[in-house]
Amino acid sequence: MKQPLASTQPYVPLRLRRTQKPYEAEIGIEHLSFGTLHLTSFYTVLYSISNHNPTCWSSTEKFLITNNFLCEISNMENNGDVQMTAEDDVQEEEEVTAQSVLLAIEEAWLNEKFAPEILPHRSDLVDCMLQQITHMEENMKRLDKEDLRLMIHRMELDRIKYVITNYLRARLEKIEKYTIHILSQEATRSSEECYLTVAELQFAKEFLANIEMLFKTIALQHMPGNFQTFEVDTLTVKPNLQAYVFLRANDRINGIIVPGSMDEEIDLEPGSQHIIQYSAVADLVKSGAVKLI
Amino acid sequence: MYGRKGFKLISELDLYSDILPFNEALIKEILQEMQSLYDANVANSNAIRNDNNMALLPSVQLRHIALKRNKRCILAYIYNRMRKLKELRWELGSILPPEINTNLINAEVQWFQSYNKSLAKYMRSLGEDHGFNLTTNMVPPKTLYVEVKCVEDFGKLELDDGQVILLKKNTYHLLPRSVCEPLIRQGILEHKST
Repeated sequence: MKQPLASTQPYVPLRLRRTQKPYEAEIGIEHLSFGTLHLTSFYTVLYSISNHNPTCWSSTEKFLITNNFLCEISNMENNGDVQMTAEDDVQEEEEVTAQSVLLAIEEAWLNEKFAPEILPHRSDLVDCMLQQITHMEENMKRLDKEDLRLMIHRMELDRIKYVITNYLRARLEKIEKYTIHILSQEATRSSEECYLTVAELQFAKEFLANIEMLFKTIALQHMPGNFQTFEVDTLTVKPNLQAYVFLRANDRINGIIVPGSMDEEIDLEPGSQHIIQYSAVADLVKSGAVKLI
Repeated sequence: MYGRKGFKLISELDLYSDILPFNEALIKEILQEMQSLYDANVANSNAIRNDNNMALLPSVQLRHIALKRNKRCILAYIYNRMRKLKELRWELGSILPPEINTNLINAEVQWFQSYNKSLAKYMRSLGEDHGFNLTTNMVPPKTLYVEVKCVEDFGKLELDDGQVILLKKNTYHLLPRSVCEPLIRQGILEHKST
């Protein structure tokens, strides 16, 4: 092996200050070596994963697991930092590691992917992660091209990017499909509990205006009399909330009423998995008590 | 029979998955049919009101339903063309190939441009400074590099690290996935899965 690689660590922990500006992140760069110790634990992790017989996993699962595994690597490298921040433990300051943000965004992504309706936005996570990506890219530029870590980190970065783009794309698709429905629901919500971000809301409005324009110029204006109207009610597409979803419970939940079955009540144990109508658990998905899988 | 032309319009959508030339003639015919139905309805409803001739009521209702159906067919036709157009935006990028452009009418081209604009505006708003492109990373990444075959002469391509390669027809390359993803979707490169 060459010199101990004392170069900049691409994975940067970041802190969120909850008090003043909610999502202003402080980024610190630390120097760590990628020594033998890390390599040993690298293989331990690798081995413990291979024990789980990956052949029977679905591709998403595999994807998630490798992703978490990469997180573990970066977390090992972050150990020094965790101890360091424990000392200056200020109460208002909440320590958010890149890993916890990634895990949260993965959960948000899966929920969004499987839920029939649009969920409250998590732009805090997206912004945080995008910032992180820019930093990792900066740091990776400084790494030697032959470096083993470059490949691993680039792969990890690609995966994170895929999760984020897919998450945002899933939202856009829903917005385009259920435009009128979402806009009318959004109008009833106050600005704090909006489901869409400002940019998404604007996109939705423009999308609706464009459709209306298209319909009007091609057909509606040539139609007779009162058929010229753009009938919002008949053109609304609503998501099917009765669709069935797979879910795993995070917390213990009592008394979910299963619709349509003589008001039968069920309890969910933490970690248990169920197939249930989405409408019965919609609020739980939004509050994070269950996650869709 | 009323509504048959509208049905023809819809079946045309269903039969072909590509964007065909906008069927303006048929739409015009349907609009004419609607106009004549509407005129007949106006005359009949006046007759009902003035002479209290209730026997005309069922035919008014029938025509009204036919009118609504025609409207629905036309709007569905336009909407579904728009959806295909939208898919093309995600697949091919903001510039449409000429063979599709010729099949569109002005209003659709305009729609496409405004869609482009709002999508670009949305993507710019993501991230901090220069935005975040949502049209890349369409499939889950499995490997960093993919083996591709060049199907068309493309010319020089600069990679992220400044390296320039020449893409000639029938050559094989091992390229970073992120670079060739758009080119694969445009049909310049072909993914060779081993």
